[in-house]
Amino acid sequence: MDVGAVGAIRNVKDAIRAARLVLQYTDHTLLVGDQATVFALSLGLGGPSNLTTDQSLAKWLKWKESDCQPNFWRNVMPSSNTSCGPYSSIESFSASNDDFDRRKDLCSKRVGFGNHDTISMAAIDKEGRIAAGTSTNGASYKIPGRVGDGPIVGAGAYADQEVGACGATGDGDVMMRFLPCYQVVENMRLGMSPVEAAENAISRIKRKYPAFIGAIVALNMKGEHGGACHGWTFQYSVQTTGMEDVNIFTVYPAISS
Amino acid sequence: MPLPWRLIRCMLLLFILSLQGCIGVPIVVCTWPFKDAIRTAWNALQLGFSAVDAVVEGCSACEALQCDGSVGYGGSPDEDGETTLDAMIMDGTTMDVGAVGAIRNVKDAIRAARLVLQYTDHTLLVGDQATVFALSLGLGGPSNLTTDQSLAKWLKWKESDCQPNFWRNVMPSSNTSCGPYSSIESFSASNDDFDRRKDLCSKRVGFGNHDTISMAAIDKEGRIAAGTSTNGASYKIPGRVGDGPIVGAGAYADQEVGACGATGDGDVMMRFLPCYQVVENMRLGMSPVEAAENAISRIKRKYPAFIGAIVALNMKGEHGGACHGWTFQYSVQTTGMEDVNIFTVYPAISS
Repeated sequence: MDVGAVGAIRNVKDAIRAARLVLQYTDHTLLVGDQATVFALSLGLGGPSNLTTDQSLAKWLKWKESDCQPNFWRNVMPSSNTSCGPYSSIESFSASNDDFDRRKDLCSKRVGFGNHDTISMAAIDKEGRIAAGTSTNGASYKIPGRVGDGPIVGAGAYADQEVGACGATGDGDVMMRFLPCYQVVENMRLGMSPVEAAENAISRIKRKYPAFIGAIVALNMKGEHGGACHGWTFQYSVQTTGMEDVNIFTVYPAISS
Repeated sequence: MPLPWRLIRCMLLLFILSLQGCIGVPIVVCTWPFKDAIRTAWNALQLGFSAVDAVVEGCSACEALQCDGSVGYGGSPDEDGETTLDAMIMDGTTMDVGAVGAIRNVKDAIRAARLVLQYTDHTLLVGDQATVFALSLGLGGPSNLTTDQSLAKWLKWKESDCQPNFWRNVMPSSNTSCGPYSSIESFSASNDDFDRRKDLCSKRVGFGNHDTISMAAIDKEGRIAAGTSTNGASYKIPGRVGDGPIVGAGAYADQEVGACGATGDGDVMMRFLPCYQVVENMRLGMSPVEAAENAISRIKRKYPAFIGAIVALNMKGEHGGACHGWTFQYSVQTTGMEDVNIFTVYPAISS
C-alpha cells in the first residue's frame, strides 16, 4: 500500500518518475510545489525544464483575450463570470445553498475533452502484483497551485493486492471529495464486480453533483475489468494475454434515475 | 386502556424522545485535549455561527496558540528549518471542501483553506502558489513562521545527524547521516526492506511530533462540518503534505451521516482514507466507536507499527474514538456540559 505522489510540481517534465522517487526514497506519500521540484532534481531527475510550449502559450493567450472564461473563481469582484482577475473577495459574502446549486450545474462547462483528462493506469504483472498510478497536467486555467484528484491516493487511483485497482478521470475538484477509487476497491472487496463497483462510485458523486463529469475504470485480481461514467462517453484501454494489441472499451453514461 | 389515553401517552413519549435527540447537538469535538480550541468553537456555535465558521474559528485558535507545537507557526520545522502548514475545511451539507497543503509564509492556514472553499471551485491549493492566492485575497502575510524555538529544535536535529528523518535507500545512509543524499544506483524495492520500514514507522511519531487538530461540529441548525490544521511532521522533507488537508484522510463530513477527524502518522494513514471509511461505516449502521475501530484495524493490518487515532461523530451527537500505538484523548463540548469534557481512548488489544 506504499505510495509516492507529486502535486503541482513545477519545471519537471517526468512527473510520475518524480512520484516514483517519493515512493522509493522517502517514507512520505505526497510532495508538492517548488519544494517537490527541488527534491526531484536533487535525486537526479532531468530539469529544471520549461513546461510551456508555443501551443500552451497560444491557448493561454486566447483564454486571456476571452475574458478568462471559463475559470475557477467565484464570489469575487470583478465577477469571474465575465472578467479576468485579479479578484477581490466580496466583503459581505455569505454562502448560500442557492449559490451552491448554481455552481453545481455550472461545473460541467469547464470539463470536457481536452480540458480534464488524466491517464490513470492499473497493471497486474507476471508475478500477480498489482499497481496503479496517474499522471496529468490538471485542469486548464486552474488557479496556480491547484492539485486535483490525480495524485490523491484513493481519488485518482487506488490499488490493493487483496482486491484489485481503479483509475479515475474527470472533474477532479469534485471527484476527489468522494474518494471514488478507494470506494471502488472497497466495493469490489465487498463482492461487487468491477462494473458494479464503478457504477456505485459514480452514482454517489452524481447524487450530490448532478452535473459532474467523470469516469472510472476498475480491475480485479482475476483480471476482470469494467467502467462507469457520467456526463460524457468514456473509453478505456486494455491489453492482456490473448490480445494482439490494445483493445478499446466504450462505456456509456448510466441513464439518470 | 382507552384509545385517547394511549394516543396521549404516545405523543408524550415522542415529545420526550425528540428532546433527547436535541440534547446531542449542537456539539463540537476535536482530537487531543485542545480545550481553548473547543471553547472558541463552542462559543461560535452558541452565538449561532455555522458549523463551518465554528470549525474555522476553533482550528484558528490552535494555530495562534501553537497547540502542542504541532499546529501553527513555530513548530515542526522541516529539513530546511522552515515551518509549512496544512489545513482543510469541509462543509458536510454540500460536500464542498477548501484545503491548503505545505503553504508557506502564511500563519492562518485554515483561513487560507476557507478562502479556497469560498472563492474557488477547487479543493486543494499547495505550496508557494497557495501563498500567493491567500495573500491576494487579503490574508495576513507574508510572515516568517520560524521562531527561536523551532530554529533551536532544528539545529539540535542537525547536530544529531538528522535523526530521525524520512529518507530511505540513499547514500549516505539516512539512518546515520544528514543529507544531501543520492539514490542508491542499484536499488530495487524488496518486501524485506518494506517490512523493516513498517516497524520503524513508530519511531518518528509521538507527542510533540505528529499531532493535528482535527475538529468536527454540528451547529444549532443541525449542519455539520469538519476541518484540520497542522504543521505536519517534524523534519519532513520540504514540500511534504500529510493526511491533514486530504479530504477523507485527515477529516470528512457528510450531512447524512456524521463526521470524523484523524491524527497520527499521516504518511501512512492517508493511504487508507480513514475518515472517509469511518463515515462510510457509520452510513452502514456502525456506531462512532465501531466505525473508528474498524478504520484503525484496517491500517493496523498492513502497518502493524503505525501510530494514529480517530474521533467520530454522528448526526445524533454520539461520539467515539479509536487509536493504535498510543493512548488518545479527544475533547467534546455540547449542550449540558459546562465546559470541555476530555475522553480517553486506549489502544485496542492486538489480535
